[in-house]
Amino acid sequence: MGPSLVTVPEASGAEDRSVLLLSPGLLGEGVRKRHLGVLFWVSAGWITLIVMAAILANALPLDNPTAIGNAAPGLGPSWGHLLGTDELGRDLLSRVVFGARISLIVGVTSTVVGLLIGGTLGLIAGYFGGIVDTFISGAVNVLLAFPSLILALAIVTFAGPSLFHVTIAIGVLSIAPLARVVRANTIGYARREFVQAAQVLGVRQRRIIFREIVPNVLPTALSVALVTVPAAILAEGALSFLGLSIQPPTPSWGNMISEGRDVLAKYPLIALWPCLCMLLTVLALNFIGDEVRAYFDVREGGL
Amino acid sequence: MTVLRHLRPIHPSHVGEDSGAALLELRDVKTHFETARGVIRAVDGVSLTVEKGKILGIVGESGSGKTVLSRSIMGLLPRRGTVRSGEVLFEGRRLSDLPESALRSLRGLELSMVFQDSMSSLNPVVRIGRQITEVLEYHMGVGVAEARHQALELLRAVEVPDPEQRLREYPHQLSGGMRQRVAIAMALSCGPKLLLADEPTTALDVTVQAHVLDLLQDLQEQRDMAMILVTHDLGVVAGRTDEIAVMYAGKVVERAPTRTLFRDMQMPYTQALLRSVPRIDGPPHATFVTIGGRPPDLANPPPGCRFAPRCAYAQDRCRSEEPPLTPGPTAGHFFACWFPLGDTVDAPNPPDRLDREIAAGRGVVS
Amino acid sequence: MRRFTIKLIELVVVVFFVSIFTFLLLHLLPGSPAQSILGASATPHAVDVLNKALNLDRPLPVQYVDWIGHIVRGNFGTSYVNGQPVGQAILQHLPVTLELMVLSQLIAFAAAIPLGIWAAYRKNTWVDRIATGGSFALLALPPFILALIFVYVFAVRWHLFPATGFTPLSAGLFENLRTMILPALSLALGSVAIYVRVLRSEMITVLEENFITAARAKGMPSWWILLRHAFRPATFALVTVAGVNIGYLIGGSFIVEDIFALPGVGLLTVDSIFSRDYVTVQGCILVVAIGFVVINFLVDLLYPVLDPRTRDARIGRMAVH
Repeated sequence: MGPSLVTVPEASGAEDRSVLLLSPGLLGEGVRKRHLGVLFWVSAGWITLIVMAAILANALPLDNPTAIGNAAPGLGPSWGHLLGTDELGRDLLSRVVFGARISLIVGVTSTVVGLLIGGTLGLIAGYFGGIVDTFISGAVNVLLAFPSLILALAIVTFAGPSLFHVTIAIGVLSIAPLARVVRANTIGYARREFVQAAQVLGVRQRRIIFREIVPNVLPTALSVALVTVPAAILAEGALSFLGLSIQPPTPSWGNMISEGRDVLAKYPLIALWPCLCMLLTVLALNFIGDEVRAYFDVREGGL
Repeated sequence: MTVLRHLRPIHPSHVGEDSGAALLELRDVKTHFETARGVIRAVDGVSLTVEKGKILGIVGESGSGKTVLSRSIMGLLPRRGTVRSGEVLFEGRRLSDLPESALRSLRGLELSMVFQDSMSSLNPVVRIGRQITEVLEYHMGVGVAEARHQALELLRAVEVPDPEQRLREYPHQLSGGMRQRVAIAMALSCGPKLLLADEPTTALDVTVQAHVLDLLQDLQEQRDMAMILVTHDLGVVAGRTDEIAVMYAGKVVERAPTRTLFRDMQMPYTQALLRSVPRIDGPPHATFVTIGGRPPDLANPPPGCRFAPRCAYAQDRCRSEEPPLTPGPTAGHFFACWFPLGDTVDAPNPPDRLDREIAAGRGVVS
Repeated sequence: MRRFTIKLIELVVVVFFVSIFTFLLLHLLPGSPAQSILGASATPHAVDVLNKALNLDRPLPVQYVDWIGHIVRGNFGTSYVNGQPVGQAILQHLPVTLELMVLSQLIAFAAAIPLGIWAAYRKNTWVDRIATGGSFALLALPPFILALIFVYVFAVRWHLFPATGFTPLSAGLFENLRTMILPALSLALGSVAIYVRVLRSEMITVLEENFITAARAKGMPSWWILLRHAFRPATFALVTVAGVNIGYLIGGSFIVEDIFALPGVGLLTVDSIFSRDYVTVQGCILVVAIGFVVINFLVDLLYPVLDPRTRDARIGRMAVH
């Protein structure tokens, strides 16, 4: 998992304080804007473009990304091949677009897995407290004790490289940060009067959790999830680069970069395009997530 | 203490304006903050003088601007969004003319400050000893061993027990009263000519308050140091100051030598303040007298006298025209009120019991 | 003392679970572990022999105890691919990885500390904006992309540094550094981004504290206040973050070692993965994971040294923030 979320324990070991490394907003403190600036819309535009291209990849007039021998290798950008061709003559544009699919699928799915499992665990731990909390927090701490990439590496190595396994592995990685954030948030809300009122009235626990707590915790959880996706994309990229994700000839940004690295001196563009795409996508998602979080903070601060 | 006096650097004679005996002079000082809500006029035209070796008390509620005033005097305001006008003159020199580096040499050396909450005004991760000696080493060029020796002397002067041990300790290991003494020792280390004490006892237990105030008074006398005592509690300044200035909503609304103020207060606000001081000899279960309402919004002060909305004696004129600071019956007495208490309009009896207390040299409370 | 004991117990518990997890990894493999270890061409007889040798027919808990027993005696098993004892291989490769990580962190701190302090002091000026914006951008650049950029610019285009290869320290410091500088930089920049952000944020908070104003009232100069008063409290969060960051660093070093062909534990692991040398992979993962846990434990012990308030358990904690 990328370094998007780090928890800083208080000096005396009291309640942890989450330091979200990607906050505050890029424009510095004190700029509490309720409107979203140019950069936000540019980022949103790029993400929309990438997502649409990935979804509609099959329908778009793209060359077959795995067909060898259709064109000369190492061509630069031209009208026939907007981004050029790779060392086996495959069209780079279509490879990049199909590669986007992999990155996005893994990024989103693993985050959803992490949110569902981690969020639920955090909710339970935060709401019930006591021994339940001790167990869950302990398990989360053990999970966090692994250097992130190593954990994913371990799972994928021994279970076998495939898209499914990579998704599961990265999903497992995102459980811990999400669980922590949800737990911290839940604890804050579980002590508030309206929850205590519902408890006194004898409302069933499950109802309380769903009606009272979840709606309040959800915005923060979602904004953290929004920032977890780019980290997952980077993690997939790294695993893919090592050859542990979806296997060639199916393109993914990571394995494209890896192939590009072998011919870096001769055809640098082959590695450049996927690098650029990954960079822009991650940057855009980080920025959007950052702004969304700042936006929500403003609203809460106004209470 | 005398060991410090002779170590003070000799000041080069400076060309400054000749303003008589006044050590510190404030001329129509204004400090405004630009915020999203508008311009907050925290200090809105304050003129005061403090003479060598004298004690001035500045009294006001929270929000009266007294803390901003003390920061303005020291020049400790935030860089951005602050608009200042008027002049602060120290020994005839205009502080606003001086570059930051010159101001730094003044602070700690000639002009120093004791803050309200000693727990937050002392660095929690630096030892007490170092926090005292760093001022000595930096300003007076004293060596490490000599600085430590002087720090010990200072701690003894402020009556901190077992000073050698204290030097090695951290702020959280000391009690509140001891921390405040340490803060005082720090402030006095270079033998300043003026000490600004901003609510020095507010954060302390009542029993400790008297001790610390007595200590301040003793030290002030011994060093012939000028002092400004800023507080919200009239009782604190009653027996311990030469002159008192009462602040409200960024302005000085009454100013007089202490006895004169208590004997002959003119501004209804001053009277209300005095009445709100709980009396230890009052009947048991007496209700606290408070001043109803809240201080005005300093971004949008009301027209006319700023105290009018809460004043028991307010008339129409009070609400439309702002009263200027005018001289009162006695010399050195100024007040800002259209219908001062001295007039026959509903003049209540001055608290004569207070008079006797002052004559006996005792404060009202603590 | 009490705090130390608690942390020690936590350490033991976590190490225990980490070991269980690593142990179970081998059993994630499709098919029997013995089969996977020997490879597809193994005869059923060989598989049987290995099964017995590895006690794979015994119940899991027994296997685990066996395995742990070997581990604590330093026996990490033997690779079935090259016959080398795994423990020895790891030991040989460890120094390179350690050098890489230490070098990268030195660079990271050397760059991040001045930058973070200055950005906090000159908040919202162009220096600050560049630092903040730059850090934000760097966070999107993982080590492997940075490594490729560096290789392309400094090795392919400009021939300043070698693209791959490693010269050990014994052959000379300068030569050694020449091979290490690009990999260390690739790792360092990501850390710089994180450290600058955290340090800046913490310093800004500290600079708003009352004791800073009090220090100014004493007439202390800005540089003194920044370094002697503000920096110290800000380091607590920085140290914590550095500890956690080591996790990402380890992951990054695996890839960087692969790219630059540095013979460290990362390269050993990756090579072993592809040669299906599962015993070695398991050993590497165990060592790396436990090393990380121990490092964090040591970092945790650092707090009482840095923050005097944590030394006194009996005094209630007063907030800096």
